Amino acid sequence: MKSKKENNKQQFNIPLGYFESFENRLLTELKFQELFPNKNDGFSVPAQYFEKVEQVILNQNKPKGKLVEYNFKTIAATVAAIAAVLLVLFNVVNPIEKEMQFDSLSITSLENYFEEEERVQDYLSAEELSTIENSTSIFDNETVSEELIYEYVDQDIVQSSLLDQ
Amino acid sequence: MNNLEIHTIESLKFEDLVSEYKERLYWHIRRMVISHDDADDVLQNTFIKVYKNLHNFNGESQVYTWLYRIATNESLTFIKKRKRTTHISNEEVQESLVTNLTSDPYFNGDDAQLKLQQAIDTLPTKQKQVFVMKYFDELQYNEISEILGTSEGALKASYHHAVKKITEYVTAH
Repeated sequence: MKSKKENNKQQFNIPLGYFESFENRLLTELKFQELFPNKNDGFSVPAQYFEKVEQVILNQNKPKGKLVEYNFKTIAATVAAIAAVLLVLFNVVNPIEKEMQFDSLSITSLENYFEEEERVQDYLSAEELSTIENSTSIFDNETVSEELIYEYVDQDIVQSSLLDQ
Repeated sequence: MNNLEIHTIESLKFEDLVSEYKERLYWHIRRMVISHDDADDVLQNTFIKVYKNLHNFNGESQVYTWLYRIATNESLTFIKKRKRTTHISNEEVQESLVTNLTSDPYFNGDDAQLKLQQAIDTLPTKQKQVFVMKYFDELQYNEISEILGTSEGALKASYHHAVKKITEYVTAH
């Protein structure tokens, strides 16, 4: 049967080199305690310091009303809302333009629109187109050359009709 | 166990923390920054930070170790800032403060205590922190480990080196 001492040896481990360093650490500690038998650092504070400093700290950290934290999103949203309100007010006080009516368009601007617009017939009825043509100079005979007419009319149809004659 | 270490998060009141911990934190800070005026500034900064972060305290650590960690960080921040503003090294500032302790109205230690402060001043920052926490503040290694984020084994080694260096310094001077 194993002795209790041997059993302990097997059950517990110790850090490597523990007993070698133990003596050294013990002697250092004893020497230190011999040099400084009293644990005192020699520092002191002004009279009543701790009573005063507590009051100073509590006064510094008194709640000063509800703090509102601003961030970029909040500021941006606020600025945008103010700008929108100002824009609406400005338009109400100084309207820039009335609602656009067809009658208010000048003939020149209509002509420019139709010259630039290639598929105008897709958007206007035949009756509307006829009305516009009668109201503008773009389709006047004086302004349409023969070449333009030939280009406009299918050449094959013209030629076949001439041959028939 | 410290009677305030049983504080629960719900029962934390700023006024109670200031009342209970101001002296312990002051002495910890004072031993780091040496001068009373500087310690006073750092103590106030520490409690301002505590006040602002009280709602963030999650109770994973003891109240005291949480406060201690803030005080330690504030002390180190102060020392770094002082280095930037004075344009001289921390070691030179600390050496000057320790050398002038004899003319400090709030230092009334004897020759042995003056030598002890001078010896502590020669230690690297980490060893100094560990020594002050263990020797003067009488914190346990597990508490220091929580505050400094260092293993207990490393702390024990640091403390032993610090004690050895101080003993050698005082014996030689």
